[in-house]
Amino acid sequence: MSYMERTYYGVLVVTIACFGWYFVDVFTGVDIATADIGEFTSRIWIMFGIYIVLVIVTAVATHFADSGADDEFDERDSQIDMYAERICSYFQAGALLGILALVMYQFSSFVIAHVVLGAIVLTTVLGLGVRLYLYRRGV
Amino acid sequence: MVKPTAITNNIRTLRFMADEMTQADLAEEVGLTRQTIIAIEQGRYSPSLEAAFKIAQALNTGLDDVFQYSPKAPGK
Repeated sequence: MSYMERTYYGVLVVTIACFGWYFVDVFTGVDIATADIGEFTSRIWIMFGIYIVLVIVTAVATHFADSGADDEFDERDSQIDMYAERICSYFQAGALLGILALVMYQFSSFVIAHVVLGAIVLTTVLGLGVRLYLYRRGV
Repeated sequence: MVKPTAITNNIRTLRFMADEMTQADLAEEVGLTRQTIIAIEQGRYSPSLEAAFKIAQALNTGLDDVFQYSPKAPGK
């Protein structure tokens, strides 16, 4: 398994754990109809900070986990990246349309902010999933 | 699960004929990762033209001896 592939596995686990925990925690203890996004702002920023640190730690850890493996990024990695980014861009376009609909139908800031956050997380998970699938299946 | 490419190759055989060159040695010589060489050998990845020429050069042979194009149906 290449460095990139190992890193993608690690980041996928970190993403699902970090944001999965947040969404479960928020949506099991909050009344969506009356929730105020202002109460979650600092929590969301802190979570993003923790997530970025965990991603960096994962990338460094996967490097040292097998120091004999290739750390280079070659043409196959680029091609897999390109396919994954294309699929993610379709998903993002759909998500943007959905968010536009939420704004037009005057949903609360809490709902809109969490749909945006959910779209970011799902795009990341989708991108990583597609990359890992293509590494196994081939391009 | 694995999607085979239309390009087959003899890299594995040619590596052994070239002083039992390892996948890592070939990867280093052509500037690819070992995983990419493995994917090419297994037919899971079709290399770029430049990479194909580099592989042939590293194995001291011609491009035709390394890679063969085997389309499933004529015209495809």
